Amino acid sequence: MVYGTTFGKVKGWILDLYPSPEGMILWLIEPSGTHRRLIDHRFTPSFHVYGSEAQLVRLARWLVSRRGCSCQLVEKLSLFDRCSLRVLQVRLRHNMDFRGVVCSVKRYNPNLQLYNSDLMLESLYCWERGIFPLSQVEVETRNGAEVAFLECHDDSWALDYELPPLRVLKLRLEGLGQVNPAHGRRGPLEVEIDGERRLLDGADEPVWMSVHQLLKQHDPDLIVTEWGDATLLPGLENQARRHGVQLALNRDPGSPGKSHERSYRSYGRVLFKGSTTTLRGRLHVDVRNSFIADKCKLDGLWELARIAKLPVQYAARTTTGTGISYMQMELAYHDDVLIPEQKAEPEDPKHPDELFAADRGGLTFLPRLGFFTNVGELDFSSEYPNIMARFNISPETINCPCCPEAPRVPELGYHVCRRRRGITSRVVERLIRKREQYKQRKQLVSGEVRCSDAVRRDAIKWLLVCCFGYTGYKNARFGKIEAHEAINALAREKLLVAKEVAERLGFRVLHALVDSLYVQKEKATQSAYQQLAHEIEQETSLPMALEAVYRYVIFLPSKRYAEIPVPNRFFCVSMDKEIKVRGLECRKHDTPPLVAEMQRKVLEILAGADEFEAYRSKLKEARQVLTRYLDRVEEGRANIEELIISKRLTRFPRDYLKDSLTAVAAKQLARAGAKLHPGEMIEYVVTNSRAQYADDRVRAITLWQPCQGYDVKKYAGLLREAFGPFEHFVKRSCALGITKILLPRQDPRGASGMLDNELRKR
Amino acid sequence: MGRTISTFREVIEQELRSWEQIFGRALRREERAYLELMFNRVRLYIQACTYGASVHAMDGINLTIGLDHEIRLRRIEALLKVRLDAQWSMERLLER
Repeated sequence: MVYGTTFGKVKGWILDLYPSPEGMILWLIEPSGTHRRLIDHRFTPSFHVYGSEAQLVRLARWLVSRRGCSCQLVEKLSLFDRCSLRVLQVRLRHNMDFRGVVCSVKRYNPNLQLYNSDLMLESLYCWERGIFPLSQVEVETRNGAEVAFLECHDDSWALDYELPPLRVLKLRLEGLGQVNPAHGRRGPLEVEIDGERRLLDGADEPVWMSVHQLLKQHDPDLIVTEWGDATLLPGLENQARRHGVQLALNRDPGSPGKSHERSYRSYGRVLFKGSTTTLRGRLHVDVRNSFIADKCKLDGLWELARIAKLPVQYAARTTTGTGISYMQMELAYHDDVLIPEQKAEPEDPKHPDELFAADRGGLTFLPRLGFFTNVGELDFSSEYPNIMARFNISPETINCPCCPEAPRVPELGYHVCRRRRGITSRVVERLIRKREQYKQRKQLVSGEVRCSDAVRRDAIKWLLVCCFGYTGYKNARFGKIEAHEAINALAREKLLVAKEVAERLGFRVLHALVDSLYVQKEKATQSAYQQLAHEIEQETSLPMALEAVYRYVIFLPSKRYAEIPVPNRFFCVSMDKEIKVRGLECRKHDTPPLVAEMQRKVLEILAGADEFEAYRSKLKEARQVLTRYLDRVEEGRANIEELIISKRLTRFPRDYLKDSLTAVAAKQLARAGAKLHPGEMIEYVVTNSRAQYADDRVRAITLWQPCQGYDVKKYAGLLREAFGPFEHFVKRSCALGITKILLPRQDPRGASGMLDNELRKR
Repeated sequence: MGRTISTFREVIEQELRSWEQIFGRALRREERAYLELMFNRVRLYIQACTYGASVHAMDGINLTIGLDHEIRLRRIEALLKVRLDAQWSMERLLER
């Protein structure tokens, strides 16, 4: 019997893609909501090898005869050498051979240089076919399941795009969401599908069995969990396996993909990345293990996956820096530029004087201390990305050999290429444009579109934030420290120009922080501040916006030294009573919710003031709030959830030498069987901070019993401490016998605001 | 890659610790507290020290301490409504 080949067409969205021995597997969601599994047999990835011609010819013979690859010599561009290289293009027969062949080439001759050899096959496939995750495509199929031809009907830079109709299953443990179940939190499993919510407590049938049936019955496209990566899904899988059942998590046969947890250091902090569980044929997003889903919700994740062309589950679990890297690599791929396997460009040798000049960050003018009214905040919009885009700063354009006469970067003397646009500049340019478009249409859209635009804009912001840092990151393929230094030098220059313009126009600079200025001028109107922003924009050629005009700003000193200001400890109230807070307890992750709530309530009351006298009278009202909270704590009426302190571990529990509260709680959890790693967060309640035995001082929240109570004195102390900043200048003015407060005057020599002025007046 | 040179904030701490060890040892207890206070005042002008990027950090620190004294002196003069320069020249004239 002979079967004929049948052709058909199908439209839909790409939900998921991954390589398999058969070819590249694509999961499509059709407009009706049904899903379809397709295979692309024609995908044959390639990589490039550079060496002497004789070496390449020998390698080609070996690869053709032993590994069945097809090889040819081709010309490709080398980004940093700025010339074209003759390299061997090695094309594989099957995509699953990719890693194996790359390793065998390395073993065959370790001196050869490899390019495009450690890229994700999913991304390579997307670049080759011109598609991206969640894009709308039309597929010509052969025999129903094979991809004969693929056409993309979507644009990753579009503002309005339709998303696939997804059936979503939500899984979480009932109770305190922020506490990791791996630390002993127990409770029924809360399940939500098709808007229906129910609790699985295992009373009628085992929980794993209920989940298994739900998966079979509803067949969701997306599973959104809390702590699903490391705890929930592996736990359910294990339970099912013990009963000889393979939990129906994957649509493709086989177990879910796993990766191990790891602790790492970033900007001096120890962080922890939990293990992951990724599915095949459906998506799994653990909102507690995804930076982007946590910060920008699912809409932000879709945006990131689309523009970075990364598979959704990978995009959810990776850093935004990887997104930027892949965007740069895509441009390089389409420009026929070789993508180095590891970072290729070392730091240029420098004289110590040059290093002193170059190795500096942005400028910070510490704030004038005190209470200031009518203050304008002006921000450079996306300053660092805009510097990269406008001044063409990219690793390959800094100190290029082709334009020695190009204008110099201030302070450093580096020059920037005038002939070609840099890869990084092109990437950030696109991102800035898209973010700006979302911003511009903010007033034109409403409801859901406005909300989703806001989170998409945020997702792009996170990509832009790390663009600059990535130029100086040691592992960035397209990183070069000189580009990083040039961006910083330009940022310093622009901030100084902005300060000079403000002072020239009679404004007093109260505070400046890298890309923002807090300025003040007596009786200045909103339009005067707008005019100032416009002037600065003209002189710096960077976009500057008036962020807000504040009724008042209070710049607070360091906690340690009462006369020394710190850059990030202040609060301000805008003309429309919006509150901005930096550095106070309510902004810190380790503050008990009760304390943060008290501070927010106090701030709401203080937002009603518009000058110092009104502030003082509002403070009397605010003190009543403090008293109410103190009463609640002292009378034992505070809920234990409100008293939780969250701390990040800096080492393994056994490595703590002193019995700090965090160390004691960590050791309690470790004794109870929790496997804790540096960088993980733990939650505890202070039970008696003065107890003789360290173990009685705190209790990890999952081990806490009502009979252990909480430390009233400690929590009352935290509440009083959190109220301190609001009283700081009022107390000082009382101590100095100052009753009448005047607006600070323009005085470049004054080190503090209202107190100096008052003293001068007296 | 990464940061090689300490930030000026770190440099102030390092310089203070190193001066405290030897120079500070020979100060009286009541004088030592002022040494730290004096170094702390440098933080107020940290942006200028950073921008100056001098290889010898103490150059920036010394200049800043002098500048801070000058500013505070002028403010005390304004507060007391006196001009010390004029007063001293007058006193010198009278002495003659």
